[in-house]
Amino acid sequence: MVDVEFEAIYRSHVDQVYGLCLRMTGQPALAEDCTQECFIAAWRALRTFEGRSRMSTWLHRIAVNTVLTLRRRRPGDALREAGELDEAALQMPGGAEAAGTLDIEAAMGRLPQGARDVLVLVGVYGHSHEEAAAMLGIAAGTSKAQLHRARRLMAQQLGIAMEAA
Amino acid sequence: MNPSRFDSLDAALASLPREVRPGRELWPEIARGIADGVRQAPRAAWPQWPMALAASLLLASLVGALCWSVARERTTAEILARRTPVAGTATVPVSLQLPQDADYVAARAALERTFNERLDLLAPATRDRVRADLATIRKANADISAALAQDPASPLLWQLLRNTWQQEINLYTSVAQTTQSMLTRSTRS
Repeated sequence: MVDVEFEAIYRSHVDQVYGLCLRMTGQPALAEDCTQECFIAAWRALRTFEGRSRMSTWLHRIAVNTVLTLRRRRPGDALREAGELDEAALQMPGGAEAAGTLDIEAAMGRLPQGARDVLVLVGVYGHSHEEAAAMLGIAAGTSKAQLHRARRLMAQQLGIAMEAA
Repeated sequence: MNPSRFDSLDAALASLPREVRPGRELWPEIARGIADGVRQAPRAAWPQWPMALAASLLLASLVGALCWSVARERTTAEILARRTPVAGTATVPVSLQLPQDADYVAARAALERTFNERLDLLAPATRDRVRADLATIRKANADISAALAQDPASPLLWQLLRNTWQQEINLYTSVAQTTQSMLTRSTRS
């Protein structure tokens, strides 16, 4: 029988973990797989959670590791190198504000994988470069370079979109 | 690139909702996956056991082969020593080095490889002590070999030389067995 407390942990973090997985994979079905695998892995590793970091940071680390593992398992198949984020998957409030949000999400979904990963972790989820680098298995300097690249590409994309509008 | 443009981009990114609701309920499959994992955990450990058992049997067979080879070498060495007419004459003993039997050489090499691979598994203090013991054994072997070169007919020196070989093998075996139990425990947990 799975612990009731763990289900409570799942309930309070699932939306954030799924959001992270969705932005990294770009595909709802894969993001769901990653989210499930993440929480199963978290259950197995729960004893090792020492409370030094926040539970959300710990779960993010597991989620990123799950996504990276899935990429290695299915290279170039289910996970795209770069492409469109499924906008329908982003269940957000309607209106003009949501439309602007979707522009940003769509631009983020078109970024190259390495740049997108860093932008998601640092730009959206507020991790430091050191944390993001540790999660992604890259150097902190690489994380900074990828973020700069991502911001430049995003600005270009959104600038073009704004001019066209 | 204009920095202010990045600032507004950063602000827009930071304002994105971090939480996105999945399109379906994921918990039932997660709960099932956890329950399956709990049930499978004892089975998952099973494939490690034959390997551990095989490793122990391999270790035992290696030690057996070495003992047999050393025993056979002792007989040869004693015969040679008895045949050596006078101590101090120019006769050079055939076997001042390790036995050269192919089985012995292969078994010893395998055991030594295991020893070197697993030495790092030991606690630093233990590892240092093992290395010091090995150095002492090898120094004794070198000293006895030098003495045997001067007195090849001495049964006592031959016995001491064989003892150093055996002590070296015992040390390798001890490390291999100790770390084997550590590896077995880690596969259980």
